This record gives sequence, C-alpha cells and structure tokens, in this order.
Amino acid sequence: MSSTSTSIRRLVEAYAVLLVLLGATVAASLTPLGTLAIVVALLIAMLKTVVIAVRFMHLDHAAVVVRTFAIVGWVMAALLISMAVGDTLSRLPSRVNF
Amino acid sequence: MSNSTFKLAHHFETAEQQRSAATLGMWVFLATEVLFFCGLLCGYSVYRSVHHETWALASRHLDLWLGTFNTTVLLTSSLTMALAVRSCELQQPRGTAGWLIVTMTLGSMFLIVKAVEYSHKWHDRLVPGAGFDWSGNATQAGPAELFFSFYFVLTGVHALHMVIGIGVLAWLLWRCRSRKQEPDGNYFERNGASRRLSPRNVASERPVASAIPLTEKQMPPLALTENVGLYWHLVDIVWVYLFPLLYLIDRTSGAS
Repeated sequence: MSSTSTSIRRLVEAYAVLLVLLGATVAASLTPLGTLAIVVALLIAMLKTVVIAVRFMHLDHAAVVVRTFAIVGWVMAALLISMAVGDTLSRLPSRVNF
Repeated sequence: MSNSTFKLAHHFETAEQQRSAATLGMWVFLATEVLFFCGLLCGYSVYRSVHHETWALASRHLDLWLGTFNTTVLLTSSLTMALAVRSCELQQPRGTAGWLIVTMTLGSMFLIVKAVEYSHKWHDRLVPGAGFDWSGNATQAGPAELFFSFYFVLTGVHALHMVIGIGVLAWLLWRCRSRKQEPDGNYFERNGASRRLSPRNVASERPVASAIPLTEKQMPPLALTENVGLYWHLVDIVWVYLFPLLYLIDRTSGAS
C-alpha cells in the first residue's frame, strides 16, 4: 500500500513500457520463431504483468504479506498449467510444437 | 484517513490497520480470480498442445488488429484507473470523477469492439454449435470448434468481468457525484452510515462531520477506490495473457 501518491511520471512511464511490450508481442508473433514463439509471448506477458502489478497496483509499496498473496496465486497457476501441459506432451512424443 | 464517510470498525485499532486489511483481503480475492482463470487456461493449454496445427489455423480467423487495438484500449484504461486512484489519494474530487469517467468510457469501448468481433464470428459461422462451419479440412472441424469454444468462454468471462468492473466504477462515480450535491455540514452518523440531517432525526442523532470541507465530502473512500482499481488492473492482466494465447498462436504464414 502506498503511503504517498505515485507520481504521474511513474505511471506514464509504465504505460509507455506496456505499449512497447505490446508492440514487441505483435512483432514477435509475425516473426517465424517456431517453438520459441509461445515462450517469447509468455515472457512478454509476464513482463507486462510485473509492470502493471508494481506500478499500477502499487506492489512496490505493499507490505510483505500482500506481496506474498499476490505472488502465490500466480505461482500456483503456473505450477498447475506447466504440470498439465508437461503430462500431455509426455504422452505425445512425436509433438515438438506448442 | 480524512474522508468524511470513513468509519473505523470496532475490531481495528487504527485507520491504517483497517486499510491494510482491506488491501490484503482484496489481494486474496484476486488470487481466487487468478486461479479461476487458471483452470480455464489449463484446459486451453492441454488442448492446444494436442491440436496445435489446427488451433494455429483457427487463431488466424481472429482479427489481429482489432485485438491489438483492444489491448491498447485496456492498457490505457489501466493508466486512467491508476490516475483515478492517485486523484482520490490526493483528495481531488474532480480528478477522481474525471478519470473514472475516462476509464469507464475506455472499458465500454473495449466491449463494443469485442461485440463487433463476435458479430464477425457469427457472420463467418464460427460460433460453436449446430451452425459452425469450418471451411478447411473436415478432420480439423472438431478441434477448430473446440478452439472457438475456448475463445468465446475465455473472452466472454473476461467481458463479464469488464461489465462488473464498469458497474462498480459507475457506483464509485455516483458516490462522487451524489456528495457534490449535498450542502456543507450536517452529516449524521447512524448504524455506521453517514447521511444528511433531516428534521425527523435531529434529536436522536449525533453530528460527526460538520467541520469537514465540502471537497472531502465528494470523495469515495480511498481504500474502496484502491480496491476497485486493483480489480480493474487484474482484469487488464488477464487480457494481457488472453491476447497472445488466442490471437497470436501462429501468424507467420497466412496471417490476416
């Protein structure tokens, strides 16, 4: 929780970074990256998440317990999805794309 | 906490403690929202890994540029929501109301564009069901229909969150506006709620905020505005994932 107001400059900077990352996502999708495409797309999405969470949702000023709750949900989601996909792909040995 | 509508609940010692608890409670709720979308995305991920080629073809039927435009709109609405929270924190009623209106407008614009996209899918007979018509290889029709099922469920649930968010923003805005019309002074406390003095209850109630300047009475509570902002940003974050997962599976050949 912020004790002082976030400056407009910090918010606009974050917005500019988000727009650049959006452009990077679209550009990457139009580039033949093969299997790496989904990795790049998700990495950029995670970067956007961090920017939004830290600057717009004020996690940079949040208490440790709040940050913990903020992170745990995402970690659990990542664990569930990665285990489910890993299991599926292990049953399809011929598959190389995702 | 200088807001005239603020009430310290009996089980908290300070306003800051109450505000911290409200923030933590909101983050717990957001964690449940993350896990809700996680369940849907888990199913999406499994089927995408099985039907990758067909889903890449189906993904190209989504309008890349409308999706990009909508993503920009939603990211902009996150900025304006953050500015609304900042204005509220600085006790600026006009700024708060103004940024809330801009945020609601951008949210509505997102929904309108989404409705246009849905209508295109309906026209192209890509809505799952009896009318679904896949123009490609017939063996791909099932997986393609599955892709569009995920598309409509994921974007539909996200749009529902947007509608709820816009409704809550309208409620916050109403709290700004309704207080602007009240005369200065004469706020009375009863059952934890502030309301205007009326001749009927003058004798039985206790004035609590008669000395608070008019501008402060126009503000919604900061903790409430912050929590609505957190919700709005989470809905934005969900779209940050939906956009590449649905629109950008593989645009390197035959891209629209």
